[in-house]
Amino acid sequence: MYQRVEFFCAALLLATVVLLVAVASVARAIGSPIIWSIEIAQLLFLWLCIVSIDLAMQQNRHFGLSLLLDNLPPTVKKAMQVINMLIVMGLLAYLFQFAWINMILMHPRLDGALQTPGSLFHASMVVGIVLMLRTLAVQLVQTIRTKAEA
Amino acid sequence: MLLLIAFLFVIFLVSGIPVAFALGLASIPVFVLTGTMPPTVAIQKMVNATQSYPLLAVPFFIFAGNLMNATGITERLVKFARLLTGWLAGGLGQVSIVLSLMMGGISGSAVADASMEARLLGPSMMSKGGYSKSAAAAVLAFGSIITATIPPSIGLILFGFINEVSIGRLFLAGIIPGVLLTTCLMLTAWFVAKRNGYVSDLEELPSFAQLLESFKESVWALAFPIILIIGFRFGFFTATEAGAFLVFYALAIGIFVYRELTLDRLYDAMKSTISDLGMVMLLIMMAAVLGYAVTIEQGPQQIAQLLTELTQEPYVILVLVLLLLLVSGVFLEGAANILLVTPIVLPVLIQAGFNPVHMGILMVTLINIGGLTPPVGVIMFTVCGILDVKTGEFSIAAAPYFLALLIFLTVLILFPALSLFMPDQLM
Repeated sequence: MYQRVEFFCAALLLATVVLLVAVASVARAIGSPIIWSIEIAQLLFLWLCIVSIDLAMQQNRHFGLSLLLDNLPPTVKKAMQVINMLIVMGLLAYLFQFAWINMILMHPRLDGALQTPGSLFHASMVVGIVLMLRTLAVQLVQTIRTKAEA
Repeated sequence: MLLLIAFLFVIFLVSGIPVAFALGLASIPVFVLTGTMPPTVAIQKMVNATQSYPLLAVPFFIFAGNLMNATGITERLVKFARLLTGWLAGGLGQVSIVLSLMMGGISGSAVADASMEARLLGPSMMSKGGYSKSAAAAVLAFGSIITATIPPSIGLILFGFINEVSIGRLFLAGIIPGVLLTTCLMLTAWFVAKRNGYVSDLEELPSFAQLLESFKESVWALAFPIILIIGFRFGFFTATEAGAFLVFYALAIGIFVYRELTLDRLYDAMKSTISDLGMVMLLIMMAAVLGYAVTIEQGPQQIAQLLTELTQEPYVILVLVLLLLLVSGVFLEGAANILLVTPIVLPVLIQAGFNPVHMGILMVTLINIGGLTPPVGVIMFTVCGILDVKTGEFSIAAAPYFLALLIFLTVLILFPALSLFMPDQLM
């Protein structure tokens, strides 16, 4: 359910971004450019990225080198995986405080022709980090619960 | 400090942390230890990395590629490629090479192309074509790097974005080298097939009517790179707009021409697009942070200084840079390499008098060759995984193709006109 809502948001954002750019280029071609269209497209693209990154994480698409891991005994491998997840969670938790400060810092800044508050852009990092932390926490529990594969 | 960054990056990389997070982790010390850079800047860099108009081309071309696959165009292209080259010695191997050239125009990702072809053609290459497992894997893997130079290649978009080089010019510049590379690989496959007695796929030459029939079915995919060139030539669209246009083009073909695009397939295409996009974008955002940290620490200047102290000879500098790229290409996946290494070394090459578009084609090709080499080449692993081949056997079977690539690269270096002719004439 949770994943489907997330995917639905991403699909909707993707479709909207494509539409906005297409409309903008047609408008430009017929000589009456729409300025706000690209602005909105870029804002939505940022949010699309955030949601996609989390979805990609749920599908284990953020690849790393498995050369060392694959050559370790199963129990050590599992321990390494747990440690790695904790390290990444640590990084995200560390970044979270600054993402929060940054969102507040950026709020008064008005961007582009539409005067969009900067916080609309920068809130994405706060949301993104929370989403990734949730995903990692789920994966961490799963890894610990499953027995090390032989 | 630069050494510390590099050291941390390697440690995290080897311990199996995803590359994107290893990039982020390695740049932390610059923000923590120097005290001049508040970590909020890191967050801002990540956000700003996405706010680039040319970058919007990435999701569009990924989406369009996935859509094209969902429309049933792949099967039609396979049929056309078989008629075109199946009668040559080493039949299905030749088919796979030509198919990469055609698919490059719509998929733009070497790994995706290699895995698709290994599944589609691999089994019959061994059962019918007389190929050994490793020989089949070699030809499939090497053919796939053609996609890196044929527009709309994602690698070229990323290169243009991060180095501020015109994506339109890069696209045009890739065409002749792409065709040349195809010819080189086909010749090699022909020699290998003659020596090892691989049979051809079709017993006789196809009739002209058969070819024409098949061409008509695949013309929609084949036309796309041509539409792209015409569009750039007359300034109808930018690369980003072309991407959005291609999405609608693919939709229209799927719905009105082939009528095979169902809602289920559309759903799958969106799903893989979003997951591909998430992977690339996290890399881009994290690479932006590390790139910033490296620039603050004057990384590019130091590397430039180091190189110019070693030698003043432009071609020696170029070879050194290419060797560096080959080594990092062996350990890092293509997108990560383009985003991370090329912005550090490109300024040195430009200063030495090389053209950035020419260098772009060269570097993007070279980085993909890294994907073919042990110990961790991504393309190699994908193909070997699907066909169940050991990497050692793969390396032996791959030797003639490596040689062909080496010759190809030398020619590409020595004759910049091969890359620059199209963009100079057309843009």
